[in-house]
Amino acid sequence: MSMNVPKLLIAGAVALTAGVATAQPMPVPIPLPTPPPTPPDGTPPDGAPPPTDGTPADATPADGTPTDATPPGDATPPLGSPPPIESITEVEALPEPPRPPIDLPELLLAPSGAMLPAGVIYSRSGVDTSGGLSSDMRFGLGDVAEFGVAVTDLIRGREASDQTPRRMAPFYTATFRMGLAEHRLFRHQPALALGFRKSFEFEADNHRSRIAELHLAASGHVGTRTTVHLNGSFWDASVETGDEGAVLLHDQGLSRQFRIGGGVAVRAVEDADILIDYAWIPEFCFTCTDANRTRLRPILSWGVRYDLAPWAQLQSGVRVPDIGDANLLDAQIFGQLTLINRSIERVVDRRRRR
Amino acid sequence: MRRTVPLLIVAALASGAAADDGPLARGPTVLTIPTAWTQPRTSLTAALDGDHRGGSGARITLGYARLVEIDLRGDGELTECDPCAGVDRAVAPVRQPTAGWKLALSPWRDGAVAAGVRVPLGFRERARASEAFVVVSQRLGPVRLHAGASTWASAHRGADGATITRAPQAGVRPLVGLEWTPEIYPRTTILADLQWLPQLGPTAAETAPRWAFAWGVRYRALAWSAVELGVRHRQDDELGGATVMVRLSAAWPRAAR
Repeated sequence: MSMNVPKLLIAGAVALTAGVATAQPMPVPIPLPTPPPTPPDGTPPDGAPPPTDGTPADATPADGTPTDATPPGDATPPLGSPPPIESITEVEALPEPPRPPIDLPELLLAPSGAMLPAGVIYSRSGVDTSGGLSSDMRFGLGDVAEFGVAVTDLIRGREASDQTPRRMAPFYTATFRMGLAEHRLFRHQPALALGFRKSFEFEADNHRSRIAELHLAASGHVGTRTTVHLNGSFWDASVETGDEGAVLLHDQGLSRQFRIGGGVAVRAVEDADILIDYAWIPEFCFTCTDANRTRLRPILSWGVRYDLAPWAQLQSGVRVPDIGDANLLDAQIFGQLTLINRSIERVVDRRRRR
Repeated sequence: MRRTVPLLIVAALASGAAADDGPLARGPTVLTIPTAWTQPRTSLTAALDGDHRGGSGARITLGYARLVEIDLRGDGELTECDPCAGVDRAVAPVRQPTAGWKLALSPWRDGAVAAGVRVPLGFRERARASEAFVVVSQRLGPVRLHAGASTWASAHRGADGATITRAPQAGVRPLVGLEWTPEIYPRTTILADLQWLPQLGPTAAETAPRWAFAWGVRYRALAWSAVELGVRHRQDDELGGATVMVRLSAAWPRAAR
């Protein structure tokens, strides 16, 4: 055992050194200074007159003996010359390689396991046929976390169980997620994200409501065109009416709080994905019994995401708010515009390269 | 007569493909039923129509990603009746703005399959209806055939003030369509389609889908526009109850000649 300790130390030191060496930038070649141009009349740059017999200055004599004249381009700079700084500037001005497209943190509604890269700002704004407006803005933190705020139009509430649910909007939420990129720990490891979403209090018609969600999402590529997403969500909600105490979802048992969701994205053409996802959203019933005050409703969505540009995507599709009832009348057609800003990521990368 | 129809079909198939295959030749609808086509590039199509009974409609369609078409439409396709039978039968269109979304794939040559929904815009308590459909389109020389199925869900206020709802599971109905562009008239297409549309009655028993058959002609006068003339017959209507309609369409970007 004692013999293994030095070996381990050596192996660790070698690995650490190799890691540091790998992280170093590639050495930049420093080109030699270019000679002054030769005048058109053949006058050497040092001012000597051109040969009068018509022989070029750098020509080999007829006897084949090489001359001691060095070609201009092969002139060795004198020792101690300063390096040509302008050449380094030229290397830095090379165009940046194209950045790979990023995997988005959500499908249509369901969260994905992908995290935004560090410094990436992501926003998604949408409208649907029921008149709802939604918006989501997120910021990538250090490749392992993201933070965002959103306003959703999907939360619905009804006064009694036999009434038609109405939209509760604007419902503001804040999201924090942390996770690991795909293949980071080992090959075929799916992208993983642990996220927490919490709403601000929504008050209307003497009812005060809040929701919170903790989710663990995993996403993995299957082949070159398909991505599969799976998530487990743990929900909580609170409803207060007038001076009554809050009715909490977590008092109803774990089975009413935990749900499984997910989806699939298939690259159908070179610039568009077909998406299907299955997600859960709380729905409130303000005069129902405590057990039915908050219920989680499944939403099935399908649509197409189209790459308008590397920084913009257009999404449209259909969602059925309560797929359990197969209620076609409540189906909504939605359109969403996703914008991705990578300016901060670019600046950070540029500074790191220096 | 028994030999004439097959001969006409064979003659039509043998007469070659249509010369022009622009966006208006692969339009979002035959006359009234949806097709499975989508545009080969991002494009916008607009249509205005009117009929001899004073009805009118408008539609704007955006096709993108070669997969999707979204449209906004306002027309009188949905109808209500009261009374629904007898000599005093009265049918009136229910105007509702709708939005449609269609996803189409072309898994085989000259063919496509599409599925879509049409939902009302906003919440309308008096009467509203949604549709879901699947349609397959196939081009066979100058003929384009369309076949599929559709179902409707509706909710409206009945004569007693109660809400009458019809679930989509209540019935799935076929839809079929035909477009024929003769070789000798490459800018002209003969159109015919059949589908079932809901008719909202004062009672649940009288609320049911009724067939509607439309036939007509589309003339693509310019590379970017077309005019359609058609006649629509509805179930239980007399021959004189048919509606004559005209539609003007324009596409952007325009088709290449």
